[in-house]
Parts: sequence; C-alpha cells; structure tokens
Amino acid sequence: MMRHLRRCLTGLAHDPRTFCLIAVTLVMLASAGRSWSQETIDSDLERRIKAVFLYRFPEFITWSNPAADGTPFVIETVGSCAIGDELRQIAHGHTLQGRPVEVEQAKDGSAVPDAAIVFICDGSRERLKQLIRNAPPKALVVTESPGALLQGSVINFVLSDFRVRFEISLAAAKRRGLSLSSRLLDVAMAVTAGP
Amino acid sequence: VQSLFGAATAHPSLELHDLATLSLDQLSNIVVTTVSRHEQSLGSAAASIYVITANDIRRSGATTLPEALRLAPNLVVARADVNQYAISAGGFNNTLANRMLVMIDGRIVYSPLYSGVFWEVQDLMLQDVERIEVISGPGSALWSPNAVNGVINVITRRADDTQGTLADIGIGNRSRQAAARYGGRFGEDGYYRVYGKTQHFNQGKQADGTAVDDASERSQGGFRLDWGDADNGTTVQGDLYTNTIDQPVGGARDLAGGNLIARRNRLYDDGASWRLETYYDHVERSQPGLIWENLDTLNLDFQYGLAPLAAHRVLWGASYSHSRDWLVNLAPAVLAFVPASRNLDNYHILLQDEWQLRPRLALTLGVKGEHNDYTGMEWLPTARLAWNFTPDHLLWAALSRAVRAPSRIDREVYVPGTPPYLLAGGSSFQSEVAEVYQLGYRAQPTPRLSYSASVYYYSNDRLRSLVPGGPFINQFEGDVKGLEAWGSYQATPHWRLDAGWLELRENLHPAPGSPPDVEEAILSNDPRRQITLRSMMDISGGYELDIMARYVGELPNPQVPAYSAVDARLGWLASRHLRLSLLLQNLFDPSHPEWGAEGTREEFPRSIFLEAEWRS
Repeated sequence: MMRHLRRCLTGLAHDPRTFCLIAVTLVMLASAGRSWSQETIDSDLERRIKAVFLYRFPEFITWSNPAADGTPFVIETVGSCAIGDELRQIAHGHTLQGRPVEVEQAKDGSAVPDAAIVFICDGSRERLKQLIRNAPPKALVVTESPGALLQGSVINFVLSDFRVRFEISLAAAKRRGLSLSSRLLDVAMAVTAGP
Repeated sequence: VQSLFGAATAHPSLELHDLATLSLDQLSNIVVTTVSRHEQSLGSAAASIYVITANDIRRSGATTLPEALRLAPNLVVARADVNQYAISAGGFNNTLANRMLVMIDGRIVYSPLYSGVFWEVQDLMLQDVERIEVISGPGSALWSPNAVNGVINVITRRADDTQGTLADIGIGNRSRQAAARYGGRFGEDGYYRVYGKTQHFNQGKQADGTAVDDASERSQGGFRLDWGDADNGTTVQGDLYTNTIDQPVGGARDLAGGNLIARRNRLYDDGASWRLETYYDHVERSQPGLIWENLDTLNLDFQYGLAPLAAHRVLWGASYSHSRDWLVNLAPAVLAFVPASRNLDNYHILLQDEWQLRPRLALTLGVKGEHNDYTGMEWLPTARLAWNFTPDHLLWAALSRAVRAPSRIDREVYVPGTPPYLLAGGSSFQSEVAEVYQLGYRAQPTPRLSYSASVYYYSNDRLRSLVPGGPFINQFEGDVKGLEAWGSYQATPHWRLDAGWLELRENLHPAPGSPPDVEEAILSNDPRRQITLRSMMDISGGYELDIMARYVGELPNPQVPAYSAVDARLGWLASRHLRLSLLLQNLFDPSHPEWGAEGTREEFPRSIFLEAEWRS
C-alpha cells in the first residue's frame, strides 16, 4: 500500500495537470459559499398520483343522485393546479360508472352544475370555504389543503412521509349523500366522523 | 445506486399508465421525492445523459436488455446473432467492445476477460426496471472503472414499487417467453418481490437462408428485499440464471451464474449521506471449442457525501474488488489464456467536489485513482462546468482523462496457444489513455419540448495494436469526434415524438516511431451516422400505437451496408388488469444484417410478437 502511495505521489509530481486538479479541489474545501438545496418533492409525480386517485375514487363511492345514462361524468377542477391534462389523459376513452368522462376547468369561481367530482387546489382558507360551498350539493369534494375537512371537504390529500395519502370526513360525505365503501376507508390515512 | 440524474427532470419511472394500474393501497405508498439528495448532487449533470424510462421500455416492446438499449439515441446497438450484440457509445463498437461501464443495480457486469459485456447473460424482468441511465463520454469520478466511452446504469424498481402479481406471456415467430413476479410486504416496513422468467430464441438465418445453429434457452429467477426508503434503507437482492446456446460444432455453450447484493443507505439531517454496497457474483461459462471459465467476484464499495461548507458538495469513496478467475483452455490450438487461471485485485479511491460558484453556475472537480494488477495506479481527473443560464437551459463543458486498463485478453491471450504465434500475449501492454473534451447544451423551453445536443473530441493515445506474430502493444493513436443530439416533443397530450441523431468520425493511425507493419487491434467498427425516430400515440379506448424507425450508417470493416428498420407496436389496455400488445419488427424489410462479415453473418428478418401482461 505504501509502495503504491509513494508511486502515486511520484506519478503526480510528473503529471502537473492532475496535481493542479487535486490541489484546487483541496483549496476549495476551505472556501465558503451558498447552501445546497434540500430534499424536494417531485411535484409532477405528486400531481400524477393525485390524478389517478381522482380517477379511481368513483369505484368506491355511490352517489345519491346518479345522472342519467349517456350524460357525461364530469370532473371539475378549481384553482391553478394543472391536473386537468393528467386527468384527461387517464380518462381518455374510458368511462366512469358507465358514463364517458369529461374534465372541466372552473372559470371565475362559477361551478359546473352537474359535476360529480370537484377538485379544489391551492385555495386560501377563506376562499376554500367559499369554493366548497359553491360546489354542487351532491358532488364529491376533494381538496389538497391542510385542515380542509373542517371547511367541508369530503376527501383531502395530505403529504405524509413523502407519500400522497388522503383523509376522509364521514360527516361531509353524509351531508352530500355519498356512501363510501369500506375499502376506501381502509386505505385512508385518517377518517373523521365530524364536523 | 449511483445516479447522475437530478431534480431538474420529472420522476422518470412512474408514468400515468403505470400508476393507473395500481391499487389505492399501492398508490398511497409511492414516495414522491425526487432521487435522493446524495444523488441529486450529481444532478446538474455536466454530462451527456439519456434516461430510458420504464414507460419507454414498455412501449418499445423490447423483451431483452440489449433491445431496450436501442432506445438510447447516444448508443449504437448492433445485433450480431440471436444472442450477441455489439453495444457502445462514442465509437469503438464491437461484440468485444471494451470501453463501457455497464452496471445493473450497482453490480458491474462487464467481464474481466475482455472488459466487455456478455450481453446474452445480462437479463432481468424488464417490467421491474425503473430506468436505464446512459451516459456517453467518460463517467465522472464517481463511477466504477472502465467508463471510458460511457456508462450504462440499469436501476430496478424498489420492492415497494413492484407489489402484487404480474404475469406475462409472449409468443412470436422468433422467440417466446413467460415471466411472473409477485411482490408483498413483510415485517414492519419490509417489502419483497420474487420473479422468474424464461425465454426461448429460435435459431438465426444467414442471407441465403442457411440456418445458424444458435437457438437458445434462458431461465432466470431472483428476488429483492427493501427496508426503509431510498435514503435510509437496506436492500438485499439476488439473481440466478442459466442460458444454453446451441453451437454449430462441439456442443452447446452453457452459461450460468448468480449474484447477491446487499446495500445500505443512510442520510443524516445535516445532508451528509453514505452508501455501503457489497456483492458477490458468480459466472460459469462453458464454451466448447474455446474456454471453460468459473469466475467469482467479491466487491465492496463505500461512498460518503457531505456538505462541509454551504456551496460545496463533497463526495469521497473507496472500492475494492477481488476476483478469482478459474479457466481451462479447451482449444489451445485456437487460443489460450496464459496463465489459465488467476486472481485479480482492484481498488479505487475517489474525491469529488461540486462547487456552486454562483446560483446558476456549478463546477465539479473530481479525481479518481484506480489501481489494477497490471499497470498499478491510474489517475482519472475530471472537471465539469454547468451553467443554468435560465432555469430551463443548461450549457455544460467537461474535460476528462479516461483510461482503459488492461484486461486479461490484452495481456494473457496467445493465438494459437503454442508457437508459432499470431498473437503472443501482451506482457508489456499498457493502459489506453484518452483526453476527452465535451461541450453540451440541453433545454426544456416549454413543458412539451426538450432537447439536448453535445459534441465531443477524444484524443486517444496508446491504443491497442499489434505487429503480426508479436504481442499486443500500444502503438496506435488518433482522434474520435462526434455529435449527439436528441429531442422530445409532446405534440398533444396523446402524442409524443422523439428523435435522435449521431455523427461520428474516427481517425486512428500508427503512433510516430512505431514499427512499419503495426496494425490496429482496436476492432472498432462504427457507423458514421445514426438517426432514430419514435412516435408514441394514445388512441381512445386504451389503445397505444407506437412506431420506431432507425437508420444506421454503413460499417466499414467488416463491411455491413447501411440499413433502415421500422418497428410498430399496438398496445391495448383491455382492462385495468390486462394489457395486450402486438409488436412487428422490420416492417418494410425482409431482412438485414447489423454486424459481421458477409457470408457468415446473420440477418434479422421481419418478425411478429404477441404479448399479454396481467397485473393484479
């Protein structure tokens, strides 16, 4: 080992470029500067997972006022999240509850009246309450804001341990005439009875 | 596993189509961080990198690793026969190509016999591959040895990303296969998967229709266990495989092997992290008419990353590998390794600093010392500059010294095994050395469009050469320059177009003062141009229509004419559980050769393959 080390050092002395590189590296260790970025959430993947969840929820939910056959199953997105493209891509050519899927972006806060699912993203707390209240009374309201269940949301996405999980408000579901299957409740991170 | 890919890119593995087939439980268990911090430090990536995603592999219809590698526009992939391939980046391609570092989950798979890869035994469950990173140009200081022209890094999914049952069967006029995988949980936070796969390949044909006796039968099985997560966790995995390949004379080639890998990652709150990996690999190669080899390798690798000062990310590491190569020369009248068996010990040490000079400008300086039994210590310094002049545009430059250390074939092969020799070993053969200059640009100006272009220049010295009858010597030199470019355009949410373009110019010649009758023994045989085009379209009703076309220029020696090939795939997600696909290869071409001398080489005909994949 020592022989190798000696040979490397002798070699280095004859290879000034390599020697410079190592010297510069060592010098750099002694200088200061800016901080490194911390662990980041892959927001594209997060959005894709949420889109798939939204598309899959209806399998586990019964609406009290199912729309007539042939009318579209409307998923309405509210807010500035760009989840619509993903949703359209998954739903393309598929049906939900036997109806063709339509994805619509809400404009100027005006709700789409026949939406079965309303997904609200990025709402500030005051605005969130208003947006939830604006949603059609029998629609499944899904949000992604901490504390949104208290504002009347039925399913709220939360990031927990770097995973996309969701919590459920049974009271809100009941108010909206939705019955949720036990399989959905099993997967939920938390199920609250109130408010 | 080391990764050069960073935060700037979307999560490469889990596309919508993959996610759509998962259960709610599986969806809630996907970790949504980008590759870990330790890996991110490599992410500003002043290097020419192409990442083959799981989705790309699925939509290519590839059923073997070499076929999946055709997706990388910075690689040249030439199929030599039913089982063998020549694969390289940046020139020097050959079925004995010896300048690429190829790894599967951190395990080095090139053979110390010739520093090249026996592609016919590198297989895995392609559905469980998370991504394949293909780096053209010398690997940074972080990589294991032999990354002279590039790195192919195959990374499989974690066991928690491959839960549930998957069964796959496929049948076609050239091959058939069956594979199954099951993933489950154990203990508090443990996940596992087990898999098995078997494939049969029909024998090949020459241009005049003569059958070549090289049908093969492969079987492989394995497992992977994961505890914790990618940053703080433990992985244990292993595989066992056999491959029997018919030979025209002397009986079948029997290849078999197995490996066991254990890896531990730790990430501390202050950003420091380490990774310890050890593996054992066993290879058996019974090749009647040539050699019988039993190779055992034990490898130990440690890397430690830390941020001692705010603008610096320092990484150091060390690695040691011991191989026992037990070999019998079965046909000394043809070729002999002398000594037949030997032990090989290698170690390397590395130090790298990524220095954030300005918020958008990063300089990476690294040096690696590689020690081998033949030439002692070799130093590989690299300097890389990455300038994100806007968040979506990156300009980079790199300067590296790359070394290909001798392998057994360079030093110990005699042809024939007794005098008079045509090739008399290479006892004084030294490492081949290259100074490499690279300049690249990549951008994602809109969410729908991304592209990359880079040029490189290799100044090669001490290349392998030979005076007939004598040993291998280092009396060739010369430069290789080239261009690599690719882009991807999401024309509509349902339609993506990819294109790739390679240009390569080689100018190799005897070194000044070398003997007048010196010949090159580099064996490079490269096209000057390669162009690839892909179209991936989603059609309503769960259908996918994918078309892949490639043009590969003429190979000079042995001469192989330029060819174009068009493949098409129709996929159908029949239900949430069942996916069917139909792959047609060489649509407009009755057959073409990709490698080898006229008269003995195989040609690859039009082929059809039907596959059904069921997931729970």
